[in-house]
Amino acid sequence: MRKLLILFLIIFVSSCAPWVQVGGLYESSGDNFKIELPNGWMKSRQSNELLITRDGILLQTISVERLDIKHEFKNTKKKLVKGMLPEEASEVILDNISSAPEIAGLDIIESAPAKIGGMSGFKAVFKYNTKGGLRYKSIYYGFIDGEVIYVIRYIAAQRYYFDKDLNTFDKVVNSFHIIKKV
Amino acid sequence: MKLKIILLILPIILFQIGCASTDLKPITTGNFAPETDERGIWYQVEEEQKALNRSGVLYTDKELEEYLNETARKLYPNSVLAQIPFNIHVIKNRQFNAFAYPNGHIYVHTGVLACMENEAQLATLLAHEMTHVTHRHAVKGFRNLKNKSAVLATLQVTFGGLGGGVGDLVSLLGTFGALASVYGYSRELETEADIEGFKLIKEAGYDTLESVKFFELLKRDIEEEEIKQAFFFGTHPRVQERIENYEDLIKSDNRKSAKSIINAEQFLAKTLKVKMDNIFLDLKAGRFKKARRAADNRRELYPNDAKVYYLLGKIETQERGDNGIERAINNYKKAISFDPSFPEPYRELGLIYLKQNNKGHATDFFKQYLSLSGETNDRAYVEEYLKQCKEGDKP
Repeated sequence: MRKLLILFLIIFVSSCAPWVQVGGLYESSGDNFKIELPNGWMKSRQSNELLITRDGILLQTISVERLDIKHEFKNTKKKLVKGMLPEEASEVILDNISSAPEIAGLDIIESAPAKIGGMSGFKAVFKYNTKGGLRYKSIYYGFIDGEVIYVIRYIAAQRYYFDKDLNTFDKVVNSFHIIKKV
Repeated sequence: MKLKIILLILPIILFQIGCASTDLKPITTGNFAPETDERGIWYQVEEEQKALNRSGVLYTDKELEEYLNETARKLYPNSVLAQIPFNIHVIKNRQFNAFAYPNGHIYVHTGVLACMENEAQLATLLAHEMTHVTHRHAVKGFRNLKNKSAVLATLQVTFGGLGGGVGDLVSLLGTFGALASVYGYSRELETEADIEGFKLIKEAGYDTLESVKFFELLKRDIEEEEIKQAFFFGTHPRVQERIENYEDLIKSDNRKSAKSIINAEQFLAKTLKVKMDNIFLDLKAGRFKKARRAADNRRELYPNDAKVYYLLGKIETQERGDNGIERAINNYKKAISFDPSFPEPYRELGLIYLKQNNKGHATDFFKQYLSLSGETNDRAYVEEYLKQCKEGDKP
């Protein structure tokens, strides 16, 4: 029993990247981007993803993810292709989300072209229910740069939290820049 | 709150179940009254069901639900239905799954309905699930568990670990829904559901040969999926067991039924929408082979259906990329010829011509799309494409 508990603790501790308070310029040469982070939010660096939240990840998160375009998605067998139109890339991303069995009632509110750090990309705004019956609202920005795709997303509980931090998210998106263009 | 109630009730159910027997008479024998532990299970099931119904995973098509319930009612006399009023619901999910809660509520995934060809096949599935209810398999199965608390705890962990996000859906079904839909019951209870289910479809006059055909269709689709599904009806060995059981039942069935109902036409008419919606789900999931076969079947049945040509066009471009362009163009043009007011094919043709730098054609199709689609959420893209065509930019 004690061994099991220790094993569980090891798994738990090793699976959690530390959360640190942030604010100001964040630069990742490995992921080739820089961004302004809001003051007082907490940051966690996962393998391919920078994650920030102020009140907790169940209430609101802003994340920046950099993926190889050959990346296999969890819920769709569709693939991203180099040179794809932003709208086509957006369709693959949204199909992966809508094919997730735990997501219900996905409602796409807006699907539009967007400029992110001067790069041509996409913006998708949508709502969905979680398994607990909670309603979330989300905005995804993304673009393909050579062999990689960058996705900047904002997910928040639709009630209260989404509107509350929308300006902060807009500022984060506007501050995003690629360090070295492909 | 719900969790608290369950945590309070569960030990009581487990304690009572610990001393109870598994020799329970089927509901069909009459004068059914649930035993104390069974009532506890029903209470928990109702809570689980409320959460499931609230979650937004249900597929709403009143006509379809009515048809499913009508088919279910053909399988039992009113005397049984008075004791256990069955209620069939549909879950919008492309995976192969169907399960019954012990209180008579049965949930069928759109993915399973999309596999079927006729009412006799639908009746096979419903009769199997209804037998789980009438023969009280949930409580029997639960009473058979040796160490119930440990099993439940393990199940919760296991559900979370199921691949493809399935764990999240399974946890949504609650403990009893998950037990029924993922693990099924013991081999004996499942065989009983096959035997009794077979009797029901035969008594109702359905063509019993369709039972094997249904599970064969399911098996073919499972083999094509490549990725293992977690659900009972999505698992190759469990479906193979059903095939063998139904084959044996057909072989040993000496009495030929007077009528043999298949009812393909009515089934196809009632499932027209759900089958189409499921093709879109398969397409979104990138299951092109399955989506293509379903779309081809539909084209054979409804050769003037614009939507099916639109779907085939999408499949061509998304599965074959540039190699599928010519066929996609033909399909989109056919879609327009069958329904000139259907906006989507214009948009797809606009995109193809834009990529081919044929801006004149692209402009025409995009403009027609905008004039037909009204307030659409992708208007900004199309306006941007029109701008590119006008400016002479490459996309």
